Amino acid sequence: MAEEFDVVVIGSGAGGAPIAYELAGSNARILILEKGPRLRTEDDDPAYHRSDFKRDELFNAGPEKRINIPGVVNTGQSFYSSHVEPDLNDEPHLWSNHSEQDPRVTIEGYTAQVVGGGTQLYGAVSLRFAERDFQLRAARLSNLPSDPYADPDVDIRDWPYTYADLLPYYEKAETLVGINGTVNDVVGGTPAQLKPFPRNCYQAPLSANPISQFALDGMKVMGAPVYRTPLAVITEAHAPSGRPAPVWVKTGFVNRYGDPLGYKSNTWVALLRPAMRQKPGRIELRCNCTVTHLQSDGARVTAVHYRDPSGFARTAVGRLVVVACSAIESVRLLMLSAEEDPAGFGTRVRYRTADTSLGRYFLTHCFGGAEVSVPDGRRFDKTQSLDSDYATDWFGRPDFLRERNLWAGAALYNNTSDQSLPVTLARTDGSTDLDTWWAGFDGDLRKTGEGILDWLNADFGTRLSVSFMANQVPWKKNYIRLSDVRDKWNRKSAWVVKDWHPHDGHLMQVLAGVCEDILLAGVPGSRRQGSPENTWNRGVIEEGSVYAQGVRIANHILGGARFGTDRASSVLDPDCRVWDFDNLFVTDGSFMPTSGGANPTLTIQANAFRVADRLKQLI
Amino acid sequence: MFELLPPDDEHVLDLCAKHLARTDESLRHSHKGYLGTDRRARFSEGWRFPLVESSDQPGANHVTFVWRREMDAPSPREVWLVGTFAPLHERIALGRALDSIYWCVRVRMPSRECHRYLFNIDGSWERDPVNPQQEDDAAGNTWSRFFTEGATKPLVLQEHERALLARFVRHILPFRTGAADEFLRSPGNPLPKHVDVLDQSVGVVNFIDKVLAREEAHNLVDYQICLREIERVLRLRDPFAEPHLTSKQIFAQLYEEMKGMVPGWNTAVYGSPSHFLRMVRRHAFLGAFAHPKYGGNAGAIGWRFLAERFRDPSGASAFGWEKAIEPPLGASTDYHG
Repeated sequence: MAEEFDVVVIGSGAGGAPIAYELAGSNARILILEKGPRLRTEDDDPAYHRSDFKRDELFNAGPEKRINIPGVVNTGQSFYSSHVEPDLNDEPHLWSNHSEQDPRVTIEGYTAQVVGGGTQLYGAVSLRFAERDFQLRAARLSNLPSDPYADPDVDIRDWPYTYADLLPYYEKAETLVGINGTVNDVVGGTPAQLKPFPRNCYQAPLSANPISQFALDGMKVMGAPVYRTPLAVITEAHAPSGRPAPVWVKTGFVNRYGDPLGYKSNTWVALLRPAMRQKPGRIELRCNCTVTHLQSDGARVTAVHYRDPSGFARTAVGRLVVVACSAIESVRLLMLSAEEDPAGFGTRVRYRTADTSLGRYFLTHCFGGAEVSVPDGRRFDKTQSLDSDYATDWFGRPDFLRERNLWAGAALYNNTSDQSLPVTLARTDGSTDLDTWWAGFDGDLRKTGEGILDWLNADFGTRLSVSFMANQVPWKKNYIRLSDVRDKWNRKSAWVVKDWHPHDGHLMQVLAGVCEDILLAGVPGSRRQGSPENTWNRGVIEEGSVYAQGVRIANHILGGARFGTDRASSVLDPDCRVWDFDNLFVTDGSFMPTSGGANPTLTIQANAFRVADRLKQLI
Repeated sequence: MFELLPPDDEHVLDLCAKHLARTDESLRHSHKGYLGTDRRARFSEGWRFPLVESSDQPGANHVTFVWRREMDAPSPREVWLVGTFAPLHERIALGRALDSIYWCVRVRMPSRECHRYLFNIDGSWERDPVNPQQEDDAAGNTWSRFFTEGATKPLVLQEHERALLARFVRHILPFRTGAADEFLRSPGNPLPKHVDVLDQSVGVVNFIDKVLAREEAHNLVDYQICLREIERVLRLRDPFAEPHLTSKQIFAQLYEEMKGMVPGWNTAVYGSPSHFLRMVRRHAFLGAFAHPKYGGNAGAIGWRFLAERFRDPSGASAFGWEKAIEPPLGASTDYHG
C-alpha cells in the first residue's frame, strides 16, 4: 500500500516550499520529495556545529570533470560544477539550436539539487516584476525592430492576473523569506521602485560597498531613481523564521554558495525549517528521492513514483500533487509520465499534439551588461559585500521603451561581490557562462609570473559591473523535449531547443549600451570599447550580453508549462493546475508566460503563496 | 589516534545518494577512461569516499566510511573494516544506515594523515567498491587509500617529478617577483624567517599531488608523460644540469615554446604541450589560492600576499579574507569551517 498524504510536493525550492509552508498551517499532511540532500547549516548540527556548506571556493565550482556521453558534440570537454549541482554525466541537459542538430551537454539551465533548490545557490536578488511585465500583450508597442508581435511564431500572453493581484503575495513572500533593501531613492528618499509599493516589507540594508558608488553616480547622471537592491539575506533578527540577528554577513561568499550560517534566506531556513518546527508532524521531508513519473486515472493523479536514497522504487499518494522541480525538470517529468501512459496521462497533458503548449515557449532572461576595471588606481575590498548594492527600474518605463523601440523593459543593478575572491577571478576571467569557466584564464598565457601580478594589479578589487535582466520573447520555436540520452535512472534526459529571437538581440544591444553609458558616466577615466587598448584593458568598458556571447540558456529557467485563461494556448489554468487534471499543479518558474524584467525567484515564491491559498480550499 | 563517533544515518544518506544511488550500470564516470572497465566507474565523484569532513576539534577530521551493497545482493550479516589509522587487529564495525544499501561508520582522526583500509564482508576482504584511490603495501597487497585535510605525504608524483613541477610552478606564480620578495620581508608575512619563497611552490606541488591522487586522478597520466617529456627536452638542451636546476633562460624558453610546439617534444606520446601547460597553470593558481586544507596555500600565504599587496584608498587591505574564514586560520567569530 502506498502512503497517502493530503499533498505531495515535488521539489523544495522557491516553487514548492511556500506551498508546504502555507498548507502546514491548515492541518494538511504534506510529503515533500526532494531529489537532493538536506545540507545543514551550523545550527542544524547541534553536536558539532559544522555546516555542509563552506566558505571554500572549490564548493562553488569544484575540480575538473569531463563530459563523458557518447554522441554529443562536446563529449570529452571539461566542466566544473558546484557540490549541489547534478553531475552532468548522471543527469545531462542537452541544448541545441532550432536545427536540432549536434546537441551539446550543458551545465546552464540547472539550479541546485538540495533542500532549498536554487535558493541555496542564488545571488539572492529578490526584485518584484514591473506592472507592465504582467501585461505585455495588452501593452503592445508598434513598429518594433524585428517586431515580435508581428511574428506568427511568437505568442505573447498576458498573465491571468495583474501586479495588483499579486501584490499581497509579494508582501507575504518578502516578509516571510527575509529580504533587505529599500523602496525609496537612496539619495532623495522619494519612491524609486517604479511599481506600486504601499508597504515596505524589507529589512534595512547594510552599508554599500564603496566601489558601488561609481554605479550609483552613473545611474544618477542618467536621471534614474535608485534603490538598494532587494537581497534575500537577513541583516537583522527575522522573527518569522526564528533566525537571530546575523554576526557578519559581508563575506563575498554569496552567489553560488550555500550559506553555512543560514543568513541567506533560502527556502529551507526561511520557510521549511520554521514550518516543521512550528507545526511538527505536518510536513514529512524525504530527501534524496527522485520522482520518476506520475500515474493517473482519469482526471486524477493517483500515484507519485520515486526512487529512494538507495535507488529502490517507491510510491506515494497525494490528494493533491504539486510539481516544482524547476522548469526544465518539471516539464521533463510531465513528458516522462506521458510516455509511461500515452493514452491516459499523455492525452491529458496533450503530449506531442500538434498544437500543444507543453514544453513550448521556454524562456530564460535577456541578460547582459557592462563591466570595467576602475582605472585611477583606487581599489576596494569587494569581499565585504553582498551580491548587489544598487538597482533601478528606470529602464523599464514606457517612455524609454517607446524611445528605444523595445517590447519590454528591464531591471538594472550593479554586481558587487562578483570576482571578489581570487580563484573565482581567475576561473571567470573571460568566460561567458558556466560551460566556459577557466577557459579564459587557461587560454591567456600572458598570465604567468609577473604577468599574473600585472593582471591582479589591474583587476583585483577594481572590477565593477552593471547588469540588466530583461524579458525574453516567448517564441514557439524555443522548447523542451526529451532526448534519447539516458540519465542514471535510465530515463530520457531533457533537451532544450533554444535560440534568441532577433528582437531579443536588439533589446540586449540597447540595454548593454545603457549599462555601458552608466559606467562611462560613473567611473572616472573609463572609456568605451574600441578606444585604444592597453595591456589589461584597464578602464576600457566591456559591454555584452548572452546574445553577443552565444549563450543560449543562462540560469533563470522559465516557461514550458505556461499558465493562462485560454486552455488552447496554455498548459496550466490561472491557479497553476494542469488544465485537464483535477489535482495536479505546477508551481516552479515553468508557469510563466513571459519571463519578467527582473530576477524571477521572488515572483515564483509569491505565485506559490497565491496558489497555496487556492489549495487550502481544496483540502 | 582515532575515536568512534555516534552514527548519523540521515546525514550519511545526504552525502551518499547523489553519487551512489542509480539503476543504470554504465561506466559514466571514468573520465578519459582512467578507471577502465572497473565498476567503480559507475559512481559520480567516487573520490569523495570515505567522506572527510571538518571536525569540532582543531587538527582533526571526521571520516565516514561507507560500504555500498549492490541493490540485488542480499544483506550481509556483518561489515567491518581495518585501517592503518587504528591497530590492524581492531575490527571497526559498520552499521546499516536506516534501511538503505549503505553501511557506515564515522570516526574522528587527525588531519594531515594518509591511510589504507580494507572492508570485511561476512569474512571476505574487499577493497572499497566506490573509492578509486588504491595503494599497494610492501607485500604487494592492494588496499583502498584515503587522506585527511592538509596531508603532505607525497602520493602519486615521484621525487624528480615534484622537483621539476616545483620549478614549473615558480615560473607560473607571482611569488618570485620583486613584489613577493618585498612581501616576504614585510610584517604581513606570517612564515618563520628560515622559510623562503620556495615553500609556496612546494605547497602548490603538494596540492597538485593530492588533486591528482583524488579528485582529478584522470589527469595524472598527463603529468607523468609531460614531466618526462620536459625532463628529456631539458636534458638534451643542457646535459650538465639536473632538469629542475637548469638555467632560467633555458627554462623560460621551454615555457614559451610550450604555448605552441616544442622542438624535440615527442608528439606521438603527447600531442599538445599547451594543453598540459594550461592544466598546470590552473592547478598552480588553485594550489596557491584555494583553501589551505587542500594542501597548498600554506598558512594562507597566498591570501596574505594579496591582502598585504592590495590596498583600498584608506590604506586598509582590499582583501579582508580573515573576517570570513574560520579560526584559527581566519578570524570569523561565527563560522567554524
